[in-house]
Amino acid sequence: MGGTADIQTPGLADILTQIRLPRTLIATTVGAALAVSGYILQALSRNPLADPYLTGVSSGSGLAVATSIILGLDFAFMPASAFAGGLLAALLVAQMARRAGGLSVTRLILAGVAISAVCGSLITLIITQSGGAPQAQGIIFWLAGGIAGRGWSDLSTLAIYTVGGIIATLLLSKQIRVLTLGDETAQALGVDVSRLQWILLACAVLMCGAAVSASGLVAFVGLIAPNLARMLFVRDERLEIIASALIGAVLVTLSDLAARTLGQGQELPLGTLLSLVGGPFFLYLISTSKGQEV
Amino acid sequence: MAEEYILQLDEVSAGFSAQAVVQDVSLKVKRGTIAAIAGGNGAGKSTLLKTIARLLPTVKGKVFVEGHDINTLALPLLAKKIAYVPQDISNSRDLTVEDMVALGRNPHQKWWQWRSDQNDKRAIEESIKAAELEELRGKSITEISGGERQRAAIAMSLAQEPEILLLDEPTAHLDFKHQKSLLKLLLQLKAQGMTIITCLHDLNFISQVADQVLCLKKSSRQPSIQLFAGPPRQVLTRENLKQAFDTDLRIIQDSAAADSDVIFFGL
Repeated sequence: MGGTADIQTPGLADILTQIRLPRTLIATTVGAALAVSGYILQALSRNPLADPYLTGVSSGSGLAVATSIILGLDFAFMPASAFAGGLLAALLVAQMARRAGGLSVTRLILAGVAISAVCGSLITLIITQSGGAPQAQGIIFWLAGGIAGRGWSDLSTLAIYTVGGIIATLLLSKQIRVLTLGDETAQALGVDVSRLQWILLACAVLMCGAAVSASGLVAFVGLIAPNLARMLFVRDERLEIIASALIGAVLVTLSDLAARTLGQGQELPLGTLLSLVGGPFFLYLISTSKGQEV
Repeated sequence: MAEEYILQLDEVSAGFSAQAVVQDVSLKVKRGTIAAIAGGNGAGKSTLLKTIARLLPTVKGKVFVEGHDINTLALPLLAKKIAYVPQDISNSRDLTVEDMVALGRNPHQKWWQWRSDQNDKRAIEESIKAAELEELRGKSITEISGGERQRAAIAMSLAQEPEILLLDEPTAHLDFKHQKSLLKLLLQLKAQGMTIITCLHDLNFISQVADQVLCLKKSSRQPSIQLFAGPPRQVLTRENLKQAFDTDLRIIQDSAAADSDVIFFGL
C-alpha cells in the first residue's frame, strides 16, 4: 500500500522528518481526538460505555471508504471520503435523535447502533460480492485501522479539528459539570440544555470524523481513555478532559509503535492490536476497581 | 401590570406536549410571601411548578415575573430571578456538597468561568450555613442521604440568589428535626423578602408557613382544575378538604397557642 518502497535509499533524516515524525504526530492526535470525543459522548449520555463510534461516524466512514475503494478511486481521496461519509451518517443519527426541545440521548444511541448495523452489513456485502478482487483486501485493511503511509498533509486537517475540539470542550467543561445534575436542574441554572447538547455532539462528531479519516477504525481508545482519566481525576472535568487526551495519545502512539515493530516483515493492523491489548487491560481495571462507580 | 405582584399566573394550563394536565390556573403572589400548591396524587402540582420555572412550556396562558412574560426572558436572566429545587436531584456525578452549591452561581458567571469571585464565595458560604451543611461540605453527594441531598439542592438554589424560590415537595425526605429547620429557614427567607412557591402534601406544614394555598383537584377524564385559593385559615375548611381529597379530615386548633392562626389536620 504505502509508497515508501519507491524512495531510493532515503537518508536517515528524511525517514525521520518525512515518515516517522508525521506518523507519530498523527498517532498522537488521533488518540487525543478519539479520547476527548468519547469523553463528550459519555458525559452527554451519562453512560461510561458510550463510544464515539456510537454516533455512526465510524460505520459511515467505513461504508464511504469501501465504496470508494471498490469504485477504484485513488487512495489519496480516502481521508476526504471517510470524513464525508462519517459526517453524513452522524447527521442522519442526529436527525433521528432530535425531539421537541432538544436531543434524546437514548434515541441517539439506538439510532447509532441501527445505522452502524446497516452500514456494517453493506460493507460486508461489498466485500463478499467483490469476487475476491484485490480491492476487498484494501477495504479489510482500512477497517482494521492504521496510520501507515500517512504524511504531513493528513496531519494538518486532523490537527485543526482536534485542537479546536479540545479547546472548545475545555471551555465548555463547567457547563458539562452543570449538565451532570440532570437536564431540568441544568436549565433551571440558566443553561440552554438543547443548544449545549448539539454543540457538544458537533465537537464529538468532528473530532471522531477527523480521526477516522486519518487512521481508519481505531477502536477502543474512545471508550477506555476517558474511563481511565475518570479513575485518576475524580471531581474535576478540566483535568479529566486533558488526561483523556493525553492517555488517548499515549495509547495510540504506543500501539502504532508496536504495530510497526512487532510484525514479521508486515505491519500489524493498529486498531486490532489496540483492542487485543486494551481489552484485557480494561477488564483488569474493572475487576480491580469494584464498588467505585465511574 | 402593577409591580405589587412579583409572580402572576394568567389562566395557565400546564402539561406535556400540548396535552393539559392542569387547566386554567390563575394566581397572584406578592413579593415576600409564601404560596403553597396542594392537591391529591397526580393532580399536577409538580407539572404546574415546572411550568412556572419554564422547564415545561405553557399549554395555554401566561406566566409573568415582575410583569415580564417568562418566555421573553433569556435563560440566564430567568435563572437569576427564579430558582427551582426538584424533588430528587440526580447524583450521577461524584461532586462534593460544596462543589454542588457552587454550581448555583452558574447564572451569575460567564459560561466558561470556573473561578469563584468574592461575591460568589460569600453567596456559597451563606447558603451552606443557611441549609446547615457546614459538616457535610466536603462529602460527596453520592454518599449522603436523600434528605441531606435535598438540603444541598436547596443550598444550591439559595446560592443562585433568586427573587423567587420554587420548591417541589421540600419536606419529602426530611426527618422532623430537619422539617422544623426548613420551616424556620423558609420563614427567615420570607422575612428577607424572598418569594416562595412550594408544592406540598403536608397540610400541617402548609398551615404553618403559607400565606396562601392553591389547591388542585384531579378529575377522572379532564385535566385538573383549581379548586380554591386563599389564606390557609380561610380555605382549608372541612368541606373544601373533603372535596379536594375525597375523604374526611379532622381539623384541630392548637390549644397551646389559642391566638395563633395555625390549625392542624389529622386522619
